[in-house]
Amino acid sequence: MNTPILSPTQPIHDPHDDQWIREHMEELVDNYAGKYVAVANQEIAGADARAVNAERAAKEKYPQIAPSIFRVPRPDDFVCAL
Amino acid sequence: MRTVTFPYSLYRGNIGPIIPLQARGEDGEWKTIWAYVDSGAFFSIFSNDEAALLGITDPTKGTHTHVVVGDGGKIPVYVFQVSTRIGEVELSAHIGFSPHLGVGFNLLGRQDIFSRFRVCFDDTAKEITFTEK
Repeated sequence: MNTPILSPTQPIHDPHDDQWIREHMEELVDNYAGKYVAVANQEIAGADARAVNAERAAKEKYPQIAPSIFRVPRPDDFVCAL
Repeated sequence: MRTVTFPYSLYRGNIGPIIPLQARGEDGEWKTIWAYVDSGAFFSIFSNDEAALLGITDPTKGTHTHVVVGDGGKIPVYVFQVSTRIGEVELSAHIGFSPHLGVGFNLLGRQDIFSRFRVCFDDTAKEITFTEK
């Protein structure tokens, strides 16, 4: 696993956290539909109905990682006409 | 010419072009958020929760417009200019925020995005590719 280079001034985003979301999509939709999850260090570091709260929890746990903040769809959203 | 490819998201056999992108908040920090790439939408519409995440405390201060949705109704949308990154490409994009976004994901529409990129939806390979023009 590539370790992200951490900046002392701003948290760094790790694309592996995006990949984690894709790989765990079914689990996320089944358990967090309609909520926000903030994924950092390839785990759910924050989860809340509000994105800012999910992000805050993730940053408290991993202050040097910019989390991937995912608005979790509902199952029905995957079959939609947009 | 920069190109970035994102795998589709997959839920129990249903696929969708839901991708991560970065938007810069009012505090200058880049936030990674997710949106459904919707070529049928002119406007990008994100929820008010994303507005709060980006430090937009009053979304109604954006440029007000109404957008027609699937049932023929209209929802209010407030548009801001947001620094956005897709892959390595940074651009300024009009992003609308609405308290009435009923679908469960943010929508990434054509304005500013499809003029900067050639966008290819490949449902067979289950991936979407953005090629900078």
